[in-house]
Amino acid sequence: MSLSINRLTEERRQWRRDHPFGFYAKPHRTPQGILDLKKWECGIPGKASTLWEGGLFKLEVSFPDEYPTKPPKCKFVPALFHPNVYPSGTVCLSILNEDEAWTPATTIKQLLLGIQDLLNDPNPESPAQAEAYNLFRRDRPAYERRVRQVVKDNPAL
Amino acid sequence: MDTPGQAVDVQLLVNEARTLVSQLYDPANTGSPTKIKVIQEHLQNLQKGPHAWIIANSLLTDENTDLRFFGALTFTVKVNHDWYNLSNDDATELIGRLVDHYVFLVNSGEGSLVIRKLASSLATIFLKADAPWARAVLSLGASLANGKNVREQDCVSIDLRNAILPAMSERQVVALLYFSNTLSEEINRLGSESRKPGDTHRISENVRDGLLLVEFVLAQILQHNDSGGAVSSEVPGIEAIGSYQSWISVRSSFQLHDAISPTQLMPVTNCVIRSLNIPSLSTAAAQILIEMMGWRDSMLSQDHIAAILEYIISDSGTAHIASLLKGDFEDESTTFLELLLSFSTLKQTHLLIKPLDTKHEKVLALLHTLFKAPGYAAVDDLASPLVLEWWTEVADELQEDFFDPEEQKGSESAKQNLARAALDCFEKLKYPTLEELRDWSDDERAEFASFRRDVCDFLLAIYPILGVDLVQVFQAQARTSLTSQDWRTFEAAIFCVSQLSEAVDENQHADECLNSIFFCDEFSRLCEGDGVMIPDKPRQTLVDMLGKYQSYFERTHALLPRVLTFLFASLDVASCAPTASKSIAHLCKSCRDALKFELPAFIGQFEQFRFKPTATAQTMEKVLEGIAAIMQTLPADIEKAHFLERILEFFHEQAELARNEAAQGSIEPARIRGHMVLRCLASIGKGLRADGEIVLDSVQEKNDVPYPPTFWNTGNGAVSQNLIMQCMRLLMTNFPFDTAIIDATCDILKAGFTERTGPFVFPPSLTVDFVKSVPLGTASTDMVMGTASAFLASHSSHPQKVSDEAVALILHVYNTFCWVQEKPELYDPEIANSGIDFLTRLLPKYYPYLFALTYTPQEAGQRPPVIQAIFNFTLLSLQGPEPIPLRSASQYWVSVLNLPTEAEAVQNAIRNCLPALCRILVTQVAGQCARSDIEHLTDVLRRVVFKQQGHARPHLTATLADLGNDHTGQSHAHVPSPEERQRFLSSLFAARGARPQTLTLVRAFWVKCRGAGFDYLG
Repeated sequence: MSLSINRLTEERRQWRRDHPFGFYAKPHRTPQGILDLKKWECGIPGKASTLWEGGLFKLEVSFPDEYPTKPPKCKFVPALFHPNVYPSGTVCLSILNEDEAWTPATTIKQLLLGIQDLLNDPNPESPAQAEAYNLFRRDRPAYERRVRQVVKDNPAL
Repeated sequence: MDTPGQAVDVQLLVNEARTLVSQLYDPANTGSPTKIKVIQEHLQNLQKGPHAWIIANSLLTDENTDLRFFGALTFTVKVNHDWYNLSNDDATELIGRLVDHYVFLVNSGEGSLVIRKLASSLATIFLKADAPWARAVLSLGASLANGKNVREQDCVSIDLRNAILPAMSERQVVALLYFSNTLSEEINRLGSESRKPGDTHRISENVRDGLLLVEFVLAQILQHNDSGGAVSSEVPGIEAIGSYQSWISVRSSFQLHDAISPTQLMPVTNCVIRSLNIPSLSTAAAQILIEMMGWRDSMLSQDHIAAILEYIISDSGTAHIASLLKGDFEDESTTFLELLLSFSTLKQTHLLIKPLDTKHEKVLALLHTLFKAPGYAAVDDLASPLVLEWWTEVADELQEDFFDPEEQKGSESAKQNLARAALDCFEKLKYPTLEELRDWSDDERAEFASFRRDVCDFLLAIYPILGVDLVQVFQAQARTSLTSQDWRTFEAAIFCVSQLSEAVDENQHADECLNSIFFCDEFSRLCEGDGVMIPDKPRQTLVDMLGKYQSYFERTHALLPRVLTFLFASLDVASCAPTASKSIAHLCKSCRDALKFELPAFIGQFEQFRFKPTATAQTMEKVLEGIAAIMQTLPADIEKAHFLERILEFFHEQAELARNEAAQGSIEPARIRGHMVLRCLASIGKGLRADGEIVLDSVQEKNDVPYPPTFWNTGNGAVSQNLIMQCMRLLMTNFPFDTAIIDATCDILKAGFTERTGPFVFPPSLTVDFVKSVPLGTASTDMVMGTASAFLASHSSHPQKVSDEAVALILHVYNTFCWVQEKPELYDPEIANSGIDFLTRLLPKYYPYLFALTYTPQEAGQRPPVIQAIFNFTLLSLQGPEPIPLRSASQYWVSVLNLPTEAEAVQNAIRNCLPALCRILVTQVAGQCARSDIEHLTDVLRRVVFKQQGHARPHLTATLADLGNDHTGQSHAHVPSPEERQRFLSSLFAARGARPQTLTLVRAFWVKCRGAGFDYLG
């Protein structure tokens, strides 16, 4: 087995043993039922007592062959209204950036918790989409209304 | 260690320490953290001071436990603080002194708190790299047996197992276990990385002695137990098992696998496994064995595994299973379950593929039985989720074997077992009744939902092995439960069929199964609402399922009318409406031709639905999109217009109603209604779009009129078009509009851009007027400018036809840019961003119109010429602090630099701006811009270097040379030397605009200018 597959198998085991409440994360299954360890389907719940509470946001995590030397790519499907999420859905976060805070020791659990934190605590220094970023900066009530709609469109149950 | 002569002072200090410790533990002080803090600081000074050894020694002999504890602690602190000031002899003496204390305290009945603390002081000494102490466990054992310290060199020849341990009392053995345990934990805590090579030998000796001690203790307990004696105290056993776990972990992290072979460990591991049978030790032993099986540790031999199996199927094991099946999920039972699952994981494929003996058969039977614990999975029953996880893992493992012809032999039994497991968890899928659900917390609901999701994963994992037979199982369940109206079973069966859609919807493998459900009379009656009342939850699951089998229904047209009738009826149920409306939209769109004759009925159903509480903008727009798609297939425009008017009139009334509401001050309801009207109109427009590939105006088109007369703008269809335009006018002029309204209007306009003719193909001036009418600073500016771009794109094969509109839109952007520069308080990054993006998007096809605007329009008065103002504005954005305008300005410049080199007007404009552009780019990458902007600015720089090399070189050189001089505004600390700057420039040109090289160069230069603190990798 390659290094990346070994690591992903271990990540899967660890996740099964212990994962944060309300999250899910599992390798993608092809229509033929075969597991693809390099592509995971995850769900990130909005944190309690934040605007995002009650939502569950689907995230696709793709691991490159060089994982864990290189970080995975995390993409919300469908794309999420959020200042640090690109229009394509890709998440812009320092721990996901090879040149910034990514380290091979970062676990999937840490990644997903990091992204959950980002939801309610956007980083205005690195905007990724104009729509959410501008609304966040200029019209906070309108931004919050939009977030509430997003939560309604992605209910946890 | 301490000089005599200061004894008097020391005694004072000892007394002071006593007083302070008494105060520290005095309950009266617990409420005042400040006082405690002062006491602690004081004590810490004493602990690190020159007389700490004497203070510690003295406190350790005190009558008060707190003081003795503090004495032991002080030794640890002082050792850590002063170890390297001790000579070798001092160190030996210190060890002897502490061992004597240890022996004395143990023999005088000291409690575990002080003993453990002192054990930790001893462990601290052992961990000092050059400590003159190797076989710590052995020498402490010998000392305990001897009643006082025995020097290490005097006891190494004594046999621990046969001479020392048998001579010790139980109390002494427990005390030795405390030390052994503390030592192993401390070694683990420190980790192998910080150790010196010589230490490994010392550690390895103690691993051996520590495990021997464990074996001795457990063997005694087991012997006692076998002879029928009751275990008096669980402490030695629990302590021994903890110690085993800890030393095994030391062995593994220090890679002592060769020094201490699995054979050597066999007896002690045997003891741990046999301890499973002693109730007080069972859980602790099981936990370490679960861990070891998880590592697939080579220490566990086949015999060990066999012994674990014996335990699992023994009477004790059966008792645990019985508890689990009664719903007892206490620690002991759950740990047993985990042991069973770990064992089964080790034997995974063996259990399903190989012929089984009775013992293994029993295990396999348990793995089925465990789905039968009472209550709801993950809510009351904690076993099912764990067992399910095991089955899913097995299925994943088996998949590989299954496609390997050599492994086919055992496949029948594997299939049967997997199918049985699917049925086992089928029972667990049944949804709680409404009454039960009412008592559940949100967390419980989420847990149960997550279990159902896991079952879905399991079903998809076994589908490749079981094939359509699996669908058949659930089909049979669905049919019988539908007949008997057993809705909970029906819901579970439909849920399973639904989850399998991913595997079978596209490939038709399960079509016969699906036919059997959907062509039966009961289903037909259910859809028609003919005497069959389905509750909400199964209805919701069925609606979800219908949405997942779109391909099946697309190829089974005969079912469409009944299924759509059911979906329309489901629109009334709040939990079903969103999904039902989506499925209606999808099925109507993809099967539009087959549904032509249903159109009047569907419109009739919509007309009933629109007044229901579930008729929100979200559900209505989906339903209308579907209905409009069927309408689109009608051959005659007049027919379309007939149906369309009927629907549009309703929305026209609603728009007027919204206006009245607004006029009467009910702003919020007016806004919501207005929003609903526009969104519904937009989705009608979307549905009316021609199916399939859209061919935008082809070259053959001879007609040069941009907006030729058609049925829809001048014929009978104009009524419909007018209704739409009136709605927009009603809700856009003098109406309290907001982002949502503007967004919906944009969608209405865009609906017609891809069409040649139709009610949504409006006169081009409508789009231009709309864009110009949206006031400056509205939050949706980017959406509006995006619509302007889409408009131009829809005419990109014949730009000349809309040249007036293109120029009008460019002038609108020009005016906006001038306006915000004249009144900076109006500046807003979104205006900059959306305007620049619009210009970037029009460049490829419409640039001649932009670059021809070298003059100031008459109505603009004193303002600069258009192209100049626009370029200046983009340059300002390129050096501004706002990240998004900076990015769009970068893209703009990349596109401008990519324009054809032969376009003279373009090249002239670029050359005019080149000095400013070069200055901005260099200043920015010289540490001024944010790290996240580097990439965007580098893209522009690359194009400059590649396309304008000759012209740009002097400007780049000049700005680089100027870095650090005041007038460049550069204020950062590190300006690279002139040579470094020169080298940067040469490398930049050498890279010839190649992305990876240029980016690396620019990043390095940026870091250099910022200072090393900004280097992530440095």
